[in-house]
Amino acid sequence: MTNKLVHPPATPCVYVVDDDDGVRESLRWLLDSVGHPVKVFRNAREFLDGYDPEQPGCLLLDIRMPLMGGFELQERLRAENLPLPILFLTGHGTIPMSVRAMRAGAFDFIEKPFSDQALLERVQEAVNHAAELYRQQRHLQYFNQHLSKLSPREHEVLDLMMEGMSSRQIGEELGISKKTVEVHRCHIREKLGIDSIAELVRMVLKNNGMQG
Amino acid sequence: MRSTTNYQDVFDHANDAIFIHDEESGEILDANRMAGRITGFPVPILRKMRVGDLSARDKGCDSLGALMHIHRAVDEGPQLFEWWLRRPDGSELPTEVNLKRIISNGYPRVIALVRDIRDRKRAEEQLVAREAYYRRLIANIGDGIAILDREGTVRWVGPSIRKVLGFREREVRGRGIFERVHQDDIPQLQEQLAQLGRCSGNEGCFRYNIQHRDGSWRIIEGTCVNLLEDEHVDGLLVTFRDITLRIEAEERIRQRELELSHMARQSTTGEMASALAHELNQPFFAIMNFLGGAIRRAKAGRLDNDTLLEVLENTRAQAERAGRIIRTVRNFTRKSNFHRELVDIRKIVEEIAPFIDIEARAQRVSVRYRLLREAAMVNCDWVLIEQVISNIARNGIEAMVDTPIGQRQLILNTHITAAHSVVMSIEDRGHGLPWTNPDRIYDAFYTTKKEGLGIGLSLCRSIIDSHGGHLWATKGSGGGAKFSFSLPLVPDKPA
Repeated sequence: MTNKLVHPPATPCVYVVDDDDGVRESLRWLLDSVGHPVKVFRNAREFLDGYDPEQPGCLLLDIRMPLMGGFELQERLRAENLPLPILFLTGHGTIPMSVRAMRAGAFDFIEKPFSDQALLERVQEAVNHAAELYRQQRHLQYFNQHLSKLSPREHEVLDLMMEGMSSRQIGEELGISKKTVEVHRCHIREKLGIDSIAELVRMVLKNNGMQG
Repeated sequence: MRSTTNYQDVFDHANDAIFIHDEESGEILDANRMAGRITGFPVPILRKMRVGDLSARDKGCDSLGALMHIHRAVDEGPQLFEWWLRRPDGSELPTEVNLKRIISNGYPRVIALVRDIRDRKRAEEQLVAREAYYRRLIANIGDGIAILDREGTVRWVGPSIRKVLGFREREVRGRGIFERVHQDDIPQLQEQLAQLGRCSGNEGCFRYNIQHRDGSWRIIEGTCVNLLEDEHVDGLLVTFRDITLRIEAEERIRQRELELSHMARQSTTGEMASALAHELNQPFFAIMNFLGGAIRRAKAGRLDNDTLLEVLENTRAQAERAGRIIRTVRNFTRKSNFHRELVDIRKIVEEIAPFIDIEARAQRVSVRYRLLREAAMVNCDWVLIEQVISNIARNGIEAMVDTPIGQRQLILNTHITAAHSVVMSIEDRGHGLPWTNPDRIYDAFYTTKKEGLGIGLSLCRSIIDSHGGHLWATKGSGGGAKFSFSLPLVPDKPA
């Protein structure tokens, strides 16, 4: 099974946004010790300027920050539809805030001080999640790119395939022979780089979901 | 003959109306002028009339009744009764009749002296009306009114007592008020009554708890005037009203104020503790990360000397930062040292007791104070120790929410130890403490109880520590928790 959609796995970068120098540098040091690529930022603005949306990553974000707070940054990322799992770093007694963060779609939150082991585990989970999100997104991008290569006739055939019709039925529907339908189906598979109908259906649904 | 004329004159000009009746038939044999005037009939006609024709039959006055009176006067002697006359113009007149048997000219007769009692009747009616009026007034006022004798026995009570205390008048008359007054209030009330009774005209106000007929306790406020020398009253006139609702409302307001100030205090300490925790979080978090990263590198053999030194420096900087934060806090709290003064710990308890009592009453908790007989002088910050006591007491009261009413008891006890310190313990009958680890009580309270309290308890410990004492918790004899703290005693005479 040759799946051309799967790219060489890019290692997600861990972004740290915290205004406390000690916390920021110590996190860089800790995350680096287990091999995570780390980029640290003093505040949300620096982060927005400096991070690469094309690369997978997750974000360790201090919930209390001057200028743009953690929540605002979360909102901003959500609005731009950037699939970046966020781990909030919360201080003492900020559980209501944490709840708010989780409701707004945060990946998790970490109360300081936290055992470094547990912290690294959470970060690893977030990184895995980030990689998965990234993979899915690339998948969709790839799929979309290739979808545009289909001819109008191939689109028609694809739509009817999606409705679960057999080649014979599609041929009857479009007034062409079953043989011609088979040829179109073959082209579709080649152009989209998909082997099974099941996978095709999944990708199309996902694509529609993203657009909807 | 002459004397007959004389008598005739007297008869005719008498101020009372006079009738002469036959003692057998009761018929009118003679009548004087006055009789003519008050009956409204000319005298000659009167002589031909029957008593019933002159009387108000609707008032039960008729010939038969008159005859019965006449016969009774014959058989039993003089009769005195009221009789209603009816005059030709239809008006009715109340009279008083005096019947007496006489022998006139050898014949047995009954003489009737009839007196117009309209004025007296009117006065009587007015009196009755006025009494009814006052009775209605007294019955309808919300306040109770009573006349007591010197000993507090109810001689008279107004019907409004039913509204105030649920009793009917007859249930209370002749009873002593102290039968239902709360025993705690009896000595003072007795003293007040005695003082009032001593001198006529004395007035006084008092307040006491008394049991309503339904068994509930009511707070009564009364005013009393000594009218022992007033012949009409001859007692202590008391007016009283139920002020329970007012007092409860006042207490609620007071409690609310207390709660607000308590909350304000708690939130201040809470905010401070929260800010402090957040401040300390940062360096500790950083230290943990630096060390975690270093250990992982060292294990993987990727830690060269220069890097190690660098991370150690970073770690030290963070540890120093934590130290600075703690020093700031210590400087802040040290300021309270200036408020130290020599006080008797009993005084502190006495001052805080009303506040504890209010909270306890709201939760149906009874509070017992077992304080030292002698003074126990300690050198302390009065306000802070007060805070500690009220904080622990409050915890205790709140711990008894699930304890059945009637068993909720808070005991504040002071005693002196051989180690020259005074120990104050506050014991409740609540759910007790988590007995896993005594040191974790502060944490446990911190996380399981309502906001603020845990901070309060750990703060209590710091306050006591800063006074050179200890705060600890043990199991109470009643199954609840017993918090105790010790403070060093200052000897009476400097050694």
